[in-house]
Amino acid sequence: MRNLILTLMIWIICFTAITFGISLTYSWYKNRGKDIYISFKDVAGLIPNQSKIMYLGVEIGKIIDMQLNEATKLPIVKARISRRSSTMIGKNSEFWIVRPELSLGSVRNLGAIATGDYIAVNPIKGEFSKTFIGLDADPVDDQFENGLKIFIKSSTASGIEVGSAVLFRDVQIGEVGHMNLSKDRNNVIIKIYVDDAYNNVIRKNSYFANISGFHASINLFSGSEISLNSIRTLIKGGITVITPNMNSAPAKNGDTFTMLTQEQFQALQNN
Amino acid sequence: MKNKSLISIKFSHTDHSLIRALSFTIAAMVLYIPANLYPFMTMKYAGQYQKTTIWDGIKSLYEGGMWGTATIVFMASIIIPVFKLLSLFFIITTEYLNIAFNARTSLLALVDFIGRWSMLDVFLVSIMVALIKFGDFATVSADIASYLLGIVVIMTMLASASLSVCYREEP
Repeated sequence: MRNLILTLMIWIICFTAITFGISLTYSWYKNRGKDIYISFKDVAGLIPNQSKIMYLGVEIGKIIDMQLNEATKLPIVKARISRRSSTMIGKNSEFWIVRPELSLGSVRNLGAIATGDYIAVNPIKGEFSKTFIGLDADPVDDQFENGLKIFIKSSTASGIEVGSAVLFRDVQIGEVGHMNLSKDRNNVIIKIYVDDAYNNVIRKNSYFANISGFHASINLFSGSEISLNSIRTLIKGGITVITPNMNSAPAKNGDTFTMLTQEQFQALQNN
Repeated sequence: MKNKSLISIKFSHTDHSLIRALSFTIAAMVLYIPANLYPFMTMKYAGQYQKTTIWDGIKSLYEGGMWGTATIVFMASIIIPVFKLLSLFFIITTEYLNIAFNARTSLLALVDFIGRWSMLDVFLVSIMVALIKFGDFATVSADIASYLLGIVVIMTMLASASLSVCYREEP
């Protein structure tokens, strides 16, 4: 009889273990990730089985493999995203690689030095898709979501690049977001993001001038003169904002300004 | 004369140990599946963490050039447990169906002998957990699969122990 009870107990324990095992296997099957493929131009710094896909600091997936597409010769990253997050990743979602950037011009994403490079995602809900095309750079829009976005029309973009500083009284109030040529190809349209806190610095009557690099002028009567704004603008370029008075109406999102030419800027400074 | 019917309440000693061994074996087999699917170790270092399944671990050892260690871990955590479970199952079914199989006792002895090696993963994790404790910088902690693997090993040990009882009592 005692033998029977012992057998029965063992049987019950094993039955519990079997149910437990089956339910674990089932939940693994149900929660297993979905595989997606993202093509990038360059995947240096990513490590399979280690690099993650992050959104707002939350891991939503992991890179499992990297391969080259034979036709395009571009790397393709195979990633597995968790089942719960996969509902957020529509076919229009944006992926980009976050790398630490440490240069004279900018210091960004220093966290990635410790965690390693990772893929960031801007999830856009929609139909699920298996293949994505990664962005070359992070969409800066997110960072300045609340800030002011204005355009500056300039005849040249000399010295200015994405990330160049926008200065007001030599204080950085924003940065250059994108640059592209205007439709008629006669001008450069520079999109700048102004920090939320300095929105009201830009008024309808503001002037913008390119202060990249240094300017040397040699004058027969006054001698030669070299002006240099700062090491940062020398290396990364910069745009300065001059707002003559704060009475004018504040600039609105999407307003377009014209960049002063060097001569106009000089004349303004001399006044 | 042995009573083979499962419904009958009158079991012989052999039947008892066979049923025990069979239930242990089946439970171990079922638990062995999630033990391979789930991560058995979580490594946390420099702000990032990594969950490793047994197969991932073997693969990364192999890719890291440590193919000797990879082979040992592969033997210990995949080949031996599978071999053990299958041979236990084989021993029990042949015994149950009364199929003549002479090498049964020696197979059981072999299972008993290699049994100790299948704990290697659990040992590995416990050593890692004890060794790598650098606070926030690097920590290793055991994950669900290592517990499952521990249970699997214990269950196979209990199964072979039940079988040994059955053979000891048989003349």
